[in-house]
Amino acid sequence: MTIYTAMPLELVLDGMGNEPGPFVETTVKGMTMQLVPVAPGVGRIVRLLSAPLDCYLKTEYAPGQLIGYMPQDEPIPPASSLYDVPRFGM
Amino acid sequence: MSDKEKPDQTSEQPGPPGPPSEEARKPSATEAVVQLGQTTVPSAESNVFCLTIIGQIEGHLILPPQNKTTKYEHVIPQLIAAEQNSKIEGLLIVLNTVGGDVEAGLAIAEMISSLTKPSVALVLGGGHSIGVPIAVSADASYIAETATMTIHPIRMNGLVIGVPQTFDYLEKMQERVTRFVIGHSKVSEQTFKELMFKTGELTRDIGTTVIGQDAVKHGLIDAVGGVGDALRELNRRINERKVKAGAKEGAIVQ
Repeated sequence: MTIYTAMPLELVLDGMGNEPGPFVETTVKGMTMQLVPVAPGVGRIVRLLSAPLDCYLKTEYAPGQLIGYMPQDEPIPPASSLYDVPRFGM
Repeated sequence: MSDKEKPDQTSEQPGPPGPPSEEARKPSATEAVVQLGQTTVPSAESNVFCLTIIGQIEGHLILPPQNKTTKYEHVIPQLIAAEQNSKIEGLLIVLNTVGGDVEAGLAIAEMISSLTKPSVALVLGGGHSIGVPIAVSADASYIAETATMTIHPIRMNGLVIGVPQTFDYLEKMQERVTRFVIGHSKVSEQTFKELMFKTGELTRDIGTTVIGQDAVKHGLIDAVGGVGDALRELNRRINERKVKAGAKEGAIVQ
């Protein structure tokens, strides 16, 4: 890989050894994307991994945009289950 | 108890996963405001797709976060989408880039040059290094009066195993860029190489910075102009293409 830039390379590559991320892969509205979480349920788009072609033309799905998503490791239980309290013979 | 408090009310919960419909993908401005505190200006349907190439062109390597980057894995599908979308009739490419990955930059330039739809490039601020082949790849190119383009040799970054081999490799890389630029602009090979290897102008490197009118004078860019000129030229080319397509259809009917 060759970088051809007018900027000093030491500025461009400064911090190259640092691990990028952490990233989250999630599917929002049918698009699989890589995000950097910035707040619970909100992520900054890093790249679209798999999306319909027309989604690439929409600025709201461009890298760097914020998007709401539901972290997959913390699924919200359905509301009905909140009321399914076991009855202990009372 | 109000309706909202009914225990069996599940309307606020996500439904069962199914194939996403086009409706579901439509972004809701209010949803974006509520969830993220941001919104995008509702845009009117335009027949022109504006592609902005800013900062570093990021290719095979993720650049550190202090760099503003244009990611080629996003730009390439964008160009394909613009080419196949029937509502888009032309592309305006706005450049303010300091360069970046050679392969990614050349890939974007090759894709722009092979589009069947009219394209016009506009250099604002700067179109340096690998931004030069991208700027010349469109059907027509404009440069703002104050915009600059830096043309300089490719520098080595990485391990040097053998000096002659490294020199040979860098020369081949430079040749790729040079060949593309001279093939897609009016600049001659001699002039471009003279600009590239000129000494005494850049403080950190050999090369040349060409500003607005100079880029036109050397034949790199077609004209000095701004957004208005670029859009006017693009619309002219779109209309020309429509007329040609109409004439072809007429000939087929006859």
